[in-house]
Amino acid sequence: MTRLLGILICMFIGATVYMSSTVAQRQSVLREVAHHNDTWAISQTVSEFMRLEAQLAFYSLSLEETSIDDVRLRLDIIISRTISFKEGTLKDFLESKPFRKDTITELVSLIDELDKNLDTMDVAQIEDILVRMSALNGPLTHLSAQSVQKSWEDIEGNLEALENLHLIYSLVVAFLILCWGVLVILVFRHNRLLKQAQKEAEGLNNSLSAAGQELREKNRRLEYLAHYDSLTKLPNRVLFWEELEKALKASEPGASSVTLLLLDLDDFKSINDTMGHDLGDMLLDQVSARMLKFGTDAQMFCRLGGDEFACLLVGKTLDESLAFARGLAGWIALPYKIFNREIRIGCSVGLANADQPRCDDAQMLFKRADIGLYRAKASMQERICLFEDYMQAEFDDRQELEHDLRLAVERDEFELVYQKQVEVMSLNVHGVEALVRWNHPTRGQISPAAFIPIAEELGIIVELGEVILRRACIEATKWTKPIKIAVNLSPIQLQAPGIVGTVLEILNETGLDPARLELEITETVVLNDRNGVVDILNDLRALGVTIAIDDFGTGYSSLAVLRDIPFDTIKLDKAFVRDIAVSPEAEALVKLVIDVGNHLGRTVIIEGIETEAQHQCIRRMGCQVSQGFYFARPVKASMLDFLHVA
Amino acid sequence: MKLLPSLAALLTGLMFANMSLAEPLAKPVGDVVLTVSGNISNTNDGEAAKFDRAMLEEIGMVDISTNSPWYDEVKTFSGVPMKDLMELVGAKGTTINAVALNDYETEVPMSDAQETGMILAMKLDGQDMEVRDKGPIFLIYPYDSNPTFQNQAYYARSAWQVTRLIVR
Repeated sequence: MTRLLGILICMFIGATVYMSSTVAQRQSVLREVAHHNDTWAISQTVSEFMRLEAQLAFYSLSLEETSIDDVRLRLDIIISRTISFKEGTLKDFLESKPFRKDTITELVSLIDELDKNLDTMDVAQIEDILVRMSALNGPLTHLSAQSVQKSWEDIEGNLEALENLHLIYSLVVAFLILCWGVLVILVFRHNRLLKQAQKEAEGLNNSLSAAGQELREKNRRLEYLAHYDSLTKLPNRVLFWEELEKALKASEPGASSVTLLLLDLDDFKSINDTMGHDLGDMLLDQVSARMLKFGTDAQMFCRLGGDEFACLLVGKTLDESLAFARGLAGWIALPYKIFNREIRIGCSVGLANADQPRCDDAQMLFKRADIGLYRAKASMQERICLFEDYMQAEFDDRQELEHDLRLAVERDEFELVYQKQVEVMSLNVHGVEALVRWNHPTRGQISPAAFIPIAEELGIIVELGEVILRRACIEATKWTKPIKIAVNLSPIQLQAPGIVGTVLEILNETGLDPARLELEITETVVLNDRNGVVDILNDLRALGVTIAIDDFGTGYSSLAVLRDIPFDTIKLDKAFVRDIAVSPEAEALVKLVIDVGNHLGRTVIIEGIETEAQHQCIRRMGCQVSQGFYFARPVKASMLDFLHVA
Repeated sequence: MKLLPSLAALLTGLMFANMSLAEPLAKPVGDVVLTVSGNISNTNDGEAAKFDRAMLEEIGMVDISTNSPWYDEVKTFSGVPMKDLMELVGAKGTTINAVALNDYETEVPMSDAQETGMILAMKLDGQDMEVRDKGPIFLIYPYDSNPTFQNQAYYARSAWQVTRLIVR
């Protein structure tokens, strides 16, 4: 493109230079045409020659007072003319042909002769010269005619040259016009290309900025997603940790105290399960909205996940923080309206303050708040719990216990003890309840009430229960009398998948008669999933195993339980027996249970008989089976002599 | 604006008046080489002013060295500026008709006399010009001084063997 333009411009310059030289040539040709006045000079010579001739004739005839001076003047004039014959183009013309040269030579010699002899000439001589002069008239006129002819030839030649020049000139002009046209096209093309390039650049720029915008948008979105919970729009755990660490770093003891609140919705799982996840999500959303409305002076709210929330308070005293937590819990506990249903949900709050006791570490503070929350959830009365130093010790203790418990299963630190159940009337052995003890290496014996809940929480209860059941069954097969062996099943154990299979497997393994095995469950198992529990119990009973309801009367006892649950034995809690000998009301309640059992055709076992008076009392009531220290304390298997002696 | 031309006219009028009054033209002593006639105010022979060589030379000679179409080399022409001659004779007109011995007549605009610096050449390379040398008077322009003079119009006005001037 640039090269083409350069070539074009060079051609343009060349053509222009050539054209101006052509114009100069043309002008010089024109000038030559105009310059050509030799013809005029020759024709003047003819006329001047003839005037001299006439003057000389007048002189010889002495006419009109013609003097010799007049002749001399004419002669001078013709001489001046002949002088110019020796100069320039006129000379060239006159010498180019012999005729012309001869004519001029003759003219000059005649004039010279006249010039020399004029003053001395007589009439005869004059006549003679006049004759010679008149003889020259013809050739001179002929010369003039030739000159005119030559002039015309020159003009024709010049015209031809002019025509050629004009042709060249026209060609050059046409070429210039062509160059100009190409130049214009080039310029237009260039312009168009420029515009196109500009447009492309604009487009590129636009799409680039759009892409940049999109990228920024995506980045922002990603950042948001990384730091915010999509459901509640609250900051998430990541952002909360950053804020918590920042707040702790900035805090000075006392001045800007940092308090961490951990909140957990009570029984959210059951709402989620029974009412659906959509509703659960909406509830979480509304709870978050309430938090934000309430906690205008809170540094930050955050959803940690599930139904767990956190709140960061900065610059509040301990009392203010506690008041805030109570207010917030009360505010959250107000009823919600979702899908035209009124929903109530409480929450537990654990608090930890960075100053009391002092704590600079976010992880540590979080753990403390978590301990507070754990205690709040475990407590029946107080939904809000502020972490205190001693809780850490308890927590650590429990952690240790949990740790030991896991190891205990592997190390087989559990021991079974057995307590007799006797027939009230005959005092014969009815059966034996197997009870588990944990012989802790350093803490000594630990009761099931202390470690079974921990085992349940840790999820090792199924494994532990299986060990106990198997060992009890093995033990029972050694006995000489085919009496019942009662083993406790925890609710979790009962509802664990495959419990029926496990029981069957153990029975097969040990060869124990299923009719001898009685599985003790608590009435709390029927609180949730009653149908499922009923199915399991039916399956177990189909194996031949009997079912006892343990600790009857302490939980959510109702007649419906007795109606719906397939069972064989009621074990009345020992709390009812304590005052049986002195309190008619207590006696009436025990009598009621015994009567219900008898009417339903089920066995009733009264627990906790410790005195003779109590024994007599239940005897009177018609109780069949009883269990208590009065009859026997739990003992090791080796102490069950009466079952081992042949 | 109207005042300026009238003032100029007055001044030139006074100048001419002074000349003609102060120096009336003498009669020619030698052969008359030039006769000026027509619209002139300063005369010495009836309606005409006649000059011999000496009278002309007295007006003031000027040299012009120039190329010309009539000679192959540069020649030096000497003569009286036409402007001075016209002032001397008190010429009033627009054209000067120059008449040669062979009755060739050419028309010279009065403006040429005033502006071009043309002369009535009487000498060629220091020699008096005889009739056979295109004398006695050859009208010469300073051709080399200006390209516009190298033109057929000026060459045509350059008459030789001039003996009469008629102011019109």
